[in-house]
Amino acid sequence: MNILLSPPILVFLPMIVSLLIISPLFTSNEIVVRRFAKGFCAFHFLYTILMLGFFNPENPYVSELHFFGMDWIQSLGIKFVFKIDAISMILSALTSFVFLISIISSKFNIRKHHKFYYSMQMLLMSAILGIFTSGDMFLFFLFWELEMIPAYFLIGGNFSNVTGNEFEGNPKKSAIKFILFTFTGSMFMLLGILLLHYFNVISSGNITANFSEIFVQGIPMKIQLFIMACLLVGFGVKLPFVPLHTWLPDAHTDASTPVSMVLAGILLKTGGYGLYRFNYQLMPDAFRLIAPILAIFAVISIIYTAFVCYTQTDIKRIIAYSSISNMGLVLLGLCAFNQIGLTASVFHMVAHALVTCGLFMIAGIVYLRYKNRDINTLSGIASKMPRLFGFAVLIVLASIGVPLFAPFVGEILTIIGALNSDFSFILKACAILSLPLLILCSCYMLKFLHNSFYGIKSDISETVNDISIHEFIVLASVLAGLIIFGLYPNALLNIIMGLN
Amino acid sequence: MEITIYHYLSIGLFMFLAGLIGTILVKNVIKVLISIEIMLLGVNINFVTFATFCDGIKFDGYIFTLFYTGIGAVELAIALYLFYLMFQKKKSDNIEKYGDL
Amino acid sequence: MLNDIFNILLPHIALGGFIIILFLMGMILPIRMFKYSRPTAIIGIYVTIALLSTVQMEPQYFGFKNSVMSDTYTLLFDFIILICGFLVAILNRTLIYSIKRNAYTFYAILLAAILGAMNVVSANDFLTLFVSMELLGFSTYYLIASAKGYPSKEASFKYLITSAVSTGVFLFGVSYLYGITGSINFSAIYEKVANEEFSLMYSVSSILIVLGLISKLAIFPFANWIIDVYKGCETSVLAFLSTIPKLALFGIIARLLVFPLGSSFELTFVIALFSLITAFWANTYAIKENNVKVILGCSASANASYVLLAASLVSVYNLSTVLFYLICYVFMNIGVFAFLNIYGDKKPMHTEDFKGFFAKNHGLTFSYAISILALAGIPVTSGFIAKIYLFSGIAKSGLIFVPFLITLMLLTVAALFYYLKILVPLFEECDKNTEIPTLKALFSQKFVLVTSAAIILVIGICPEKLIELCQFIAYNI
Repeated sequence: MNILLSPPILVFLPMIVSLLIISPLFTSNEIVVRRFAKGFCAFHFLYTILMLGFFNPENPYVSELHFFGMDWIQSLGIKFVFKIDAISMILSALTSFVFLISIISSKFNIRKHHKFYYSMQMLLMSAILGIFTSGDMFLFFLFWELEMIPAYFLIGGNFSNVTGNEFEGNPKKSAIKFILFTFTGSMFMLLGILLLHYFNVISSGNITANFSEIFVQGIPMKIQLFIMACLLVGFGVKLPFVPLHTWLPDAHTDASTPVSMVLAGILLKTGGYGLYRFNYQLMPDAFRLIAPILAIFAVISIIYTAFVCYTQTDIKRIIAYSSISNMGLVLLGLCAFNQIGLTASVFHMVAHALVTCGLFMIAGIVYLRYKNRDINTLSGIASKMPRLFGFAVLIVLASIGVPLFAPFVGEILTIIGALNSDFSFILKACAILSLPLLILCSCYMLKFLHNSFYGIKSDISETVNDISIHEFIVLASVLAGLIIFGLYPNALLNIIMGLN
Repeated sequence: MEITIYHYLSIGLFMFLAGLIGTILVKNVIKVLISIEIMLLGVNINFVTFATFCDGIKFDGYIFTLFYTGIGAVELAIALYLFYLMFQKKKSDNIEKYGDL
Repeated sequence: MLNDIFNILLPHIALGGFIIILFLMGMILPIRMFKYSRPTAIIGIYVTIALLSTVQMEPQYFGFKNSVMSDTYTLLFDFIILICGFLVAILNRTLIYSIKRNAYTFYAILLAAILGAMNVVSANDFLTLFVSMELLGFSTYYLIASAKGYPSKEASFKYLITSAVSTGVFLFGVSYLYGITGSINFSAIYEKVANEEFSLMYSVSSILIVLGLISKLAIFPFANWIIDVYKGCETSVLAFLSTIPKLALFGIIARLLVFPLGSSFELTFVIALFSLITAFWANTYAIKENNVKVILGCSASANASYVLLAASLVSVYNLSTVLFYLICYVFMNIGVFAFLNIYGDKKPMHTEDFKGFFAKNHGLTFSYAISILALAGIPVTSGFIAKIYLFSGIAKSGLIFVPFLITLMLLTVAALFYYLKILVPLFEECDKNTEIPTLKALFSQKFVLVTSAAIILVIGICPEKLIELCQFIAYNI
């Protein structure tokens, strides 16, 4: 059992599959490649569910099922450690799920370079799982850097074979923008990690880079704050919060639909996870000092992007900006620095991943049929595609935080957490200030729904196919997730709460 | 007036600087090579001076001078041959003509 | 005397013997037998590697009246230089087929360059260092100029002028140091420097010495040659030029900074400043360039500046990072130039010329991509570990150097940009009407490319042994 279910297999299986797909020995038949990738993702999802089933929130490492340790570079104290605690487990399962639906939805969106595309998807999956499960700073950084290359190719690859359309944008430029932002961030993060490593060696005399063996109590507070700032730049680019967010709308808009789903669904969560793992968990004292300032940033990014969102006309841009807004909420939950806030922010990550995947899927379906994503010129989709309309209404309602759906729980818990935090009034003020998000969010989402789905447009007279079975499966599974976690949030909350 | 070590050293320094500035400013290839030779001689004067005034036992400086003179001559020979090969194409001794790359 | 030879110089003498053999064969054999030059040279290098194992691994061994030395440090450098020389000698096949008449001379001089590089590292006084450096230098002029046509001559001439001037600067510094300390022997100078206080003159002469040495690494005051030389040079010679002189010069600079020149704070500051200027210049220059060779030249200069910055912050830990970085770096460079050699020297080398190569040439392009990714420092390759290790050394040197580190890190972002400029066209799709060439690689070229890619991956995945080795050597210097 230990051999079959272990974190390294979870992480490295997709990488092996990626190498297998790209190797010249593997067939280049597009259907075979796609089905192989899909089948593998389904298997991997079952695998993570199995691991989740064996997961014991109270004492995660007792079974050695969720822990793996091996020496790697002893002279730097780098160990090959994988450790799965509650948050890692949930986010790994989420990763597996999002990649599964992303691969399912690739059927209609990906038209060329199949081998390369699926290989890169699998590599990205491996890297992200590595980020979520690694128990060593340098291993974390390794996966963090590794994730950039497939992400770069996926954003800039232009796999959808649609050219000459005004909505195609400039994927290459967006990809360069993405990678330069991320790489700059990760360089600051590396600086933070190196300083943390070095000062930990000085203060405790223990050459280690293991998360659980780093103690920052001996490090002077000024240096802690400097390290904290370096790490914040790294994670802030990925999360993103407002001054560092400009790569995101371009990247999400220019990528093809499945890639956008992965980017918004999972890639942004790595930033939140890193923030939790490093800043929140490793350096609580410094985080306590910096949390009110960070909360202000969070509120700025919530409100500012919500307003920007309202002025956008491209569906994908609306969704991309709403992601920034929602990730601001995640950040606010972390800043609350209490049990409720942490739980809420993890819960909201999951809820937002599901919602944003659904929304990107809808945008992709509309774009595939109409070659148009402008909400001012689209109209009357509801009469052509009633089933899509049904899903769209439900998912949009979920995204604006209507009760019964998961994001409602996340938002409310975040705000309760922020109000309950034992900091000064700043966080309470931030919590109250972020309440308008709910209203603003409903404004832009309903505007999108109203403009594009309602109404009758005369010049689109040709018949359009309603959603196919693949698209139905994706939307239905997303919706099922939203409703299950909305009705019974304890399914997740119990696992997360068992952490501390 | 007594001639001290500093007089020799200042001659060496002067020749070295003259050569260095020459290599930077002069536009004629042959003159550049001459400037390099002048640098070499400045360095040699330094070595001989130091060997005479400071190191009375081992004479490392004189040996260095001999080696550097020989090696400098070889270097110049190679440079002249390369210049000859290039000159066949360009027929000019202006250094700015040799900027194809 | 005999003892000296067997303990230190046997590999060097064997290599010298092969140089003479190659020259003689070139004189005696008819031109049509030119192709035997390559196996002879390869055998020569192989024999030298074998003889290297007979050298005694004593802590430190001085010979020839203290003018040469041998310890684990020089052995490591000799070994790496020979391995690089081995790969370069294998790679040069296409070049010697175009210069049949001079094939024997070419290989003799390649071996002479390797011999010079090995002697540079084992030098223990400034005279030996100077003579070996000139041996390396003269051979390099010949190797650069060996290809047919005008550009190689111009490249060689420019390199020669820069080297000659920098040699002058170097010797000027040496003359003052000689005047101050009364000796040209490293050990003797170190003893004097460690016991007495030396003021401004010592710092000035140290700075001049190091300035003269770093010109061959293309560091700031003498950096511009690298663009012209890389443009005009054959790729198989570039594989030599970007590895062996660099190894030799770093080998001696690191030792000089630890021993005879180590007591000068100004020197550290000046070198660090120059390396930052170089890193800035090289990385920004490469961003707007399109020629792959020029980009690689800038990257060579930039990488040299990172290593020099680490080497200037003298400490045992930093020395080990420098060793590790160099070992990783040379294999990346050889891999890159092996691919460019397969591609062909006569063809244009702009980034767009490599468009869509991945579609037709999976294995070759993949290996090339690994080398480029390693240069960019992406994980799973040795470049990632080397980068982290190097930066960790700089971070450990104190909070004063954190601004330096931040600058370097931001510059590596620029570097990533131009490496992607090389990398991305490979995976792009071509227009329908342009034919993607299928590259015809000889076994030797494939061997070099794949070997270096494999070494990059192996070091990237399990670097522990090599890091331990580097630390062991750095502690025992």
